[in-house]
Order: sequence, then C-alpha cells, then structure tokens
Amino acid sequence: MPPAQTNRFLDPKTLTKISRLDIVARLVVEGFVTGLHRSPYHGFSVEFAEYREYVPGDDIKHIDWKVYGRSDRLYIKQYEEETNLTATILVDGSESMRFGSDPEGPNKLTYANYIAASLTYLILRQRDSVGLVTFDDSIRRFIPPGSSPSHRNLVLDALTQIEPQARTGLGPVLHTMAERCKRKGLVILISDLFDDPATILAGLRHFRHRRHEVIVFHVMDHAERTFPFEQMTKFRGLEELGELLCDPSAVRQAYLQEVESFIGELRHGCRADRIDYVPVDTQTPLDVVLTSYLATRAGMKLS
Amino acid sequence: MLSQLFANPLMLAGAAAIAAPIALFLFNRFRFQTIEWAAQLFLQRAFQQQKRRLQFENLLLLLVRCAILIALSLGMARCRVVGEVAVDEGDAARNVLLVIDTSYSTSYQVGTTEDATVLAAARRTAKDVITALKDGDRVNVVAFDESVRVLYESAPRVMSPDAKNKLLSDLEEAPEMQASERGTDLAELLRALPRVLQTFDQGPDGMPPAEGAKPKAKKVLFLSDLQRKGFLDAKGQPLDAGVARVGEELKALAAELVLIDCGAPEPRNVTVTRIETRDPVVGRGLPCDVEVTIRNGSAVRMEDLSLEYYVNGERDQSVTIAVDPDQELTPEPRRFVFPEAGLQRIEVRVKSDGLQLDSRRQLVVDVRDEVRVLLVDGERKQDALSSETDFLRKALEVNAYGDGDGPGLIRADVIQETELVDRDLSAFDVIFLGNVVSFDERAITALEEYTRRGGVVVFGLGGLVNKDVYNQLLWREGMGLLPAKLLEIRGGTLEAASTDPQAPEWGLALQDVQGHALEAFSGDDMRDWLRGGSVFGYYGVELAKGKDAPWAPLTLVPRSAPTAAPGETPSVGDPLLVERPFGRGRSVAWLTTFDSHWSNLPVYDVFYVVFWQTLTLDLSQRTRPPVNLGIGAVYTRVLEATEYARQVEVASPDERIEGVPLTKLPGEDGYRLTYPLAADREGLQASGIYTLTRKGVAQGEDPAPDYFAVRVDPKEGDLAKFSAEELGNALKAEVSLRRPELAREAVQADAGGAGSKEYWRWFIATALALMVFESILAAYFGRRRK
Repeated sequence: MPPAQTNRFLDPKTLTKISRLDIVARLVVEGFVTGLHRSPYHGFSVEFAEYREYVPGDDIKHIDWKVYGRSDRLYIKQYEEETNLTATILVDGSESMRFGSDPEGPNKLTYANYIAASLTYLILRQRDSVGLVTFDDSIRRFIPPGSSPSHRNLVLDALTQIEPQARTGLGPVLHTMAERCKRKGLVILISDLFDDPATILAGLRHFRHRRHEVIVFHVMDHAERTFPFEQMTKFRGLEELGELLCDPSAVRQAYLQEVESFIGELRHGCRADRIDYVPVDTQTPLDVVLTSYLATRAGMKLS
Repeated sequence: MLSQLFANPLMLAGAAAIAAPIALFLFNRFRFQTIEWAAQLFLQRAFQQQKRRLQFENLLLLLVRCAILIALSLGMARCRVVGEVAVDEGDAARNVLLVIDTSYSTSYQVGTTEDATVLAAARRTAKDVITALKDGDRVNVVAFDESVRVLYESAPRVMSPDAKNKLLSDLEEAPEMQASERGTDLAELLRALPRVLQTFDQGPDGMPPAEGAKPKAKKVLFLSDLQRKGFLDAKGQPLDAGVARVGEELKALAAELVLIDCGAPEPRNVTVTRIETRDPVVGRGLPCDVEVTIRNGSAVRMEDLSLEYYVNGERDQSVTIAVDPDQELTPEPRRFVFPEAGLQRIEVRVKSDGLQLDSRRQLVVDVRDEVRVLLVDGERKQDALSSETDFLRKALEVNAYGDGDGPGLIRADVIQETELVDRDLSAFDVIFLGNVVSFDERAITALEEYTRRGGVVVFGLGGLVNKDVYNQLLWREGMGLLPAKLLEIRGGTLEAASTDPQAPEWGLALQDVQGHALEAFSGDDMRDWLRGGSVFGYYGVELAKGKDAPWAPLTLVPRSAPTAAPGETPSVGDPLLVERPFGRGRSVAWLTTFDSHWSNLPVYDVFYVVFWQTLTLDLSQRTRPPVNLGIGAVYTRVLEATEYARQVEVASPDERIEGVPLTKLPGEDGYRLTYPLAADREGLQASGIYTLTRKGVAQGEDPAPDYFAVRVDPKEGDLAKFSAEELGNALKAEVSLRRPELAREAVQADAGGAGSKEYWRWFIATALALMVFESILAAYFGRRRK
C-alpha cells in the first residue's frame, strides 16, 4: 500500500469509519511503519531468523545484497529479538471517557482503544508480549501479557467490550497493578486522568519504583482543551458531577486556566519521575502516539 | 397630565421596550443547549471563580441597556418641564396664533424670482403650518408693521376643510396680509398679543372664560425677519421697558412664543436715510444744495454704488460712492438751481440690493420767488441805523446764497404802526413788530386774523413798550396774540453797561431746540455764534403752563454764570425767544430790542444775519403746507375761498387717481383739503411723489399741480436681527427659534404652556452616549471573556 494511502489511516476521523479494531490497528501500524523510511527506531534484534521480501519503507541497509546478486530479488534479513519486552497497557474505561465533541470523530475511549490496539499490534509485531488492563474506579478486566498471534485478538476483543459507566479511580488501580506487575517492563497508561493529580502521580510513581518504564497517554477531547462553546449551555457532568448552566464565553478563560494548571501539574510530576507524558488530543494523528512509544522503546534499549 | 409632561406621550409606550433586554436575558436563560461534559470539575471550579464578576457585568449591561431604552423613549416622547401655568388638559385641540410681519423690510428679495421675498417665505411657512393642522384646531392670524391687524377679530377659526381653505386664501388675498411700506413696531405688537390670545380661551359665544378656568396651551409662531432696530438698543435692552409685562401676560395665558426667522441669512442693504436742502427755503434762481445720507446696514463694504439724482422725473446728476459696513455716508452736497418757483421734485436712487423701497427717497422742494416780511418800526428815526428795525432789515436783506451778489431771498417792507391797518397783511410771510408802543383795535384784529390764517408775527420789545397795554390788548390772559405775559424790564441798556462794569449782562443759551430752526445752532461749528453776543436788558415774562406752554428755545444766562461746555446742558435762564402757535400761524416774542439799544447782538459779527435769516425763513416755511411726509401721515392744507376748486384730484405714485372733497372750515372763509380721507385712519400707505391737481378754481386760471412726497421710515432698512435669547430676556419669558422649514414641527406637539422647557435633545444625547458606553462595556467584557 503506497504511503500516501496508508498515512491517511493515521487520521482518527478516518479510523472511526472502520469498525473492526484489528483492521484499524493493522492499518495504523503498517501505515506508520511504511511511512517511516529512514526511521532510527527499527526495533529489530541482532540474531538472524529468516529472510523476508523487501517492501518499500524497509531500511535498505538490511537488504541482503548477496541474495540479490544470486536471485535478482530483494530480501531483507530478519533477526530474533535480543530481549523479550513485556508491555502492559492500562485503558481507562470510566464514564468520562465516553465524551466526544465531534460526532464524526472518535470519543476519548475510542481513541484510547485505537492507541491500545495500535500499540498491541506493534508490540506483537515485534514479538514482544503485551497485556491489557481495563479499569474505571477499579480493575474491570486484566489480560496477562502474551505474545501469541491469538493473544492479539484477545486484547482487541477486550478493548471493544469496554462499557464506560463508573467514575474514575486511578489511584487504587495503579497501585494494584504496580503490585501485580512484578517483572520489569513497559507500562502504558491511556486515560483522560480526570482524577486527583497527586493520587495519579503517586500510582505512577509506584510503577517507577518497580523499575517499569511508564508512558502516559493523556487523552483529552479537543473541546476539553479549547472550550469552543459560545451560546448558553447546560453542561451535564459525566461521572455524576451534576449540571451547570452558564455562558461559556464568560468562564472560558478561567476554565482553560484550570485545565492548563491540571496538565501542568501532571507534566511536571511525570517529568520528575522520568515518566513519558504524552498529551493527546483526539484530533491528533496516531503517529504521535506510536512515535512516543518507539522513543521510549529506544530509550529502554539504550539503558 | 401626560400631555403636559410629554409632547408625544404615545411614544412613552416605547419605554415598555425596557422589558426587551430583561426578557432577552430571561429568554437566554431558558434557551440553551445541553451537552454531556466530562471535564465538569474544571468547569465548576472556573464558574465559582467568575460567578460574582459575571453577575456584576451582566447586571451592569442590563441596566445600561434599559437606561438606553428609557432615555430614547423619553426623548421621542419629548419630555419637558411644565411651565408655571397649569393648562387646560381637556383641550386636545391645538391653539395657534400666526404672527406675520408685513413691514416693508419683508419686501427684501431673498431669491431671484419676483415673489422670493421675506414676506412670501413667511406666507409659505404659515400655509405649511396651517396645512399640518387637524380638524378642530384653532387658528388666528395677526399681521403687523407699525400697526397690528387681526385677521379674525372676533374669535379664532376652528379648522375644518372649508375653514382651512378659506384661511389659506385669506393669507394671500386679505388686505391685512398685504405687504406694507410701513416700519415695524414690535413693542406695539407685543402689547396687542395678550388681547388676541385671550380670544382662544373665550367660549364659542365670545363670552370670557369662567373665573378660575385654566388657560389653553397656545403657540405663537412669529414669522418675521426679526429686526432689532426700534425694539432693542445697542446693548440688547428693550427701548420700551413695558414689554417685560407682556411676557408675564403670555405666561399667564399659557402661550409659548416661537420665532421663525424668514429673513435672509446675511442681508445686504443700503438705505437712503436722508435727503434735505441745506437751507430751509429755496429761492428761484438761487443755488440749492441737496444733502443725502446713505447708510450701509450690511456686514460688508458696499463698493461702486451709483447714487443718481432725478429732478422732476429727469435724471440729473450721479455720483459713485462706497460705504463701509454699518456706517453712514453723507457725500458732498449736490447743487441745483431752479429757474421756476413752485414745488419741485427731487429723487435720489441708489442701486444696490434686494430691498428697493429704501433705496430711493424723494424730496419736494418749495421754490419761492421771495420771502416777504413786513417790519413795523415803533421807533422810526431819520439817521442811519438808528430806527428800531434798521439792523434787522439789513440782516434780512443780505444775500446769503452763493457768492452774495444780487438781492437775497427776503424782501422787507418797513412801515409805522399807523400804516398797519391799510396793508394787505396776507402778502407777507412774516411781520416783525419792533418796539411798538401800542396798537389800535383794528390793527390787533388784522394781526390776529393774519396769524390765524397761517401768518407769523414776531414781537420785538423795547423801552417804548408798555407792558400793561401789551398784556391787556395782546396777551389777554393767554387768549391774545402775545405768546407770554410781560413782567418787568430787567437789566439796562448797552450804553449804560458800557460805562458801568457792574451792569448786568447775559449770554445766550440754547434749550429745547429739537425741531426748531435754532437747532442749526446746536452744532459745534454754529454754537460759537451764541457765545460772543450779550444782552443787557430784556422783558421778563410769565409763561403759561401745561399744554398751552409756549416754546422757549433760547434763554439768557448771566455772564457771571459759568459757560456751558459743548455737550453740556446749559443752565436754564429767562427766555429770550418765546414761540407758540396761534390759529394756523405762529406768534413769536423777541424779549429784547431789535436794535442795539438793549444788546450788542446786532453788531456782533454776522450773528444777526445768520440768526434772523435762519429764523425768518424757517418761520415763513413752517406755516406752509408740509410737502415731505412719512408713511402713515395725512396730507392736509387749507385753501382760501379764492383757491376753491370744483375738482380736486390726487394721483398716487402707483398712478391711481382719487378725487378729494373739500371741507368748509367752520367760521372761516376757507376749505380744508385732507388726503387720504379722514375715514382712512391708516394714512398714506405708498411712498413716492403724489400729484395734486385743482380744476375749476374760484378765481383765475387753474394752478399748476402741487406735489408732496411720502417717504418710508429709514430705520426699517436696518436689517440687523435680534436673537431668541434677546427677546426672551426682554420679555422675561421662554422664546425659541426655528427655521421656516421646521415651523410645522413647532405645532406638531401639543403646547406645553408658557415657560415650559423641552429636554428631548438631552435625552436623545444621553441615549446615544449610553449606547457608546454600552458598546465599550460589551467589547471590554467580551474581549476579556475571549
């Protein structure tokens, strides 16, 4: 698939038109990888495993020129992974994740699922193992890490079955999972983080204490970041936060300050604990997410 | 009540619009979108922070928006403060009095077409106002110049389609509404206004309103060129202080005065204010100097004005002049010589401006063959200059015209008193009686008859005069010919004074000389003539008081008294000259001698010549029919029985010929000619030269036509205006000013009563200011919110 065609699948709006999450994940990852060309992040191991026919986007330095000389066909040498990465993806399934301001675009949960699915696809493609945790104020489902092809379907099925209804309770969930994940690995939190920042940071710090690498994808709707409303609006709070009737233009400035303050506190806390904090707007193309993951992955290899 | 407080009370309904922003506010509270919102926690915190400020901003904007609507509503309803007088609120009809200025200044051309005059503009405006009135409204019209004319004297007209058409027609055609050649008497108009306005409050039957009834609100629309001349002085004070009382009356009648300036914005006008001969009498074949004064009433200098002189209808001379703004100019007199005696016509014209009536002025000159005087000498002597009247005769016979060659205008006959009864006194213009001891009864009768018919008698006193005889025969307790009762002789003779330094001596002082021949001596150049001469003896007199008091223009002041400086009022002393009318003539007493026995006046330089020629010529002319009249005057003269004519006609300047009947004088053998007829109280109404012809006279051939000139009031040519504020100050009442095109708006709203003030402009201005304020506030709040 040409890059121009595959890249459009990085657009969240386009992805909402595809109902099957596995197809979405594949399109995202294939499109992303194909578009990288000379990306420094290759994720390839050093132990040779097999040959694969060259596809556009592959780094030409991995072409086996001897085989080319013999057969006139381009083959890429593939290697066994050096270490086996265990990644745990935590997806927030609370009621607040149900919010989406653009009827044609994904809501926060859908977008979180795209991230989770794409990362799952990518991780398994690299032959690492991946686990999944869905939660709201408690853990709703836990799928231990696995690397088999059927494991991908298991994860993706779990993602599609999330029913957002309860309040967010990140603190206990993070602490619980930090205790459960004993083996050092990669922890990926995908959430709107609508909870007390101190509690969230305490939970994340627990993972770091267990020597996990942590990536936080802070998913927010575009409207939540810009508050673009003009006319008189009654805001009906999700997660049982009541109703508020107001002139949005009158409170916009104060609201945005509140949001900035919240994000700032989280960003500062994450930086302090060497946690990758990735603010994600639901209108943001998914390559941002994947790039963040690969950067973290590269960092792990270097460390 | 509302109609008192608001000119357009219906517009108050607009105030209900203040419900609009409130309703809008409430409507917005209930018209909202509902959305599910995840970041509710942040929103709640933000809202709590902004809650008080938002409430304050919203309330402030709401109040400002409500205030805008209230101010707009009050402005459009034309809110006003009601005057001091409570008006009849039940009177829904409007009461309008249109006052139209028809004085000749309203003939000023404001445009190029013939009917584009100030009066035409006033008429158009009046019609515009009348057209805008509704059925049931009451209207009356007053025209004024020097007199006041009410179009509907009995009661104002109630408007209906027919009445409106009749009124519009009357405005054009009624005689009262026609342009006149009169001046303006604004004070007279103002005094007449309350009487006319009272008719609005009368019942339909003309009965006065019930006691205690409130007056109806009235509007007086004053359509004029607003001339200030004759009404206000230079400081803006009314010349007639009584008009302030009119202001009170207008207030009591709930009348509001609105000025409509129909005049030109910056009128240019040059007026011929004066045309006169320098000498009181003009002689046939003698030089006659004609003086003209031109006034420029404009604010700009008038250049290249052509001043043209016409004699008996023919153009004679012309001169080009320039007159500075607001200045008068008297060019060098022009000299004329009339070869024929009789009434000669001179007209001067200046071509310049839009007001023609005052740009020409006429003068009828009574050219005389001679002025005949009779000197009755009571002390006749053989030696030169020793008789009583010798000095006087010489003084009168001096040729004072031109280079002095040849005989003068005055011819003097000298007789003794015994010859008096044998003379035909009617042949003489003036009779001097010098130091005559006494008169017989026939002489006194003849003198009295002569004076009654228009002659002039001048008594000169002296040592021979017996005061008791004079008082008994000539004073007769005021019924006789002598103008004052003689008392005793005061002082002495010139001869005695020459040897006695202590002898009493008097100088001459002018008193009330306005309109008298001696007014000529009141100027600085002539005043010196009065300073040097002295009187050493004179008869004291007792003057009558009251309406019979004679004129004493020249008095004696002791030489010991300080001399009055120029411009100061001299001290009043005993009279030297006393004058009073007697019949159609005049009687004069010179209370010292004609010769130099009691004074040095006959030998003091040329004083005697100037004094007696001036006085004699004036007296001789004064008793002749006046031939130069003003608008509104009546031409009148007496014809002797021999002058009776079967047909007397007067041709006016517009060539209208009118027959004039002669009226027999009661107890006299003569006839009175009066034009216009006595029934026409308005007098002569058109300026120009009138021609009087007599056909079929009793004796001899029909005489040549007589002429008389009628001239407009030159003050009316001053087109400077008064302001509404000045008139308001003069009346101590509220007076507003409007342009003609806005006149109908003045009556669109109900009258608010005298002294009421409208504040709608302020409310509209406040509304606009609030709109700007609201925009700034909204922008500020909005920007902060964004």
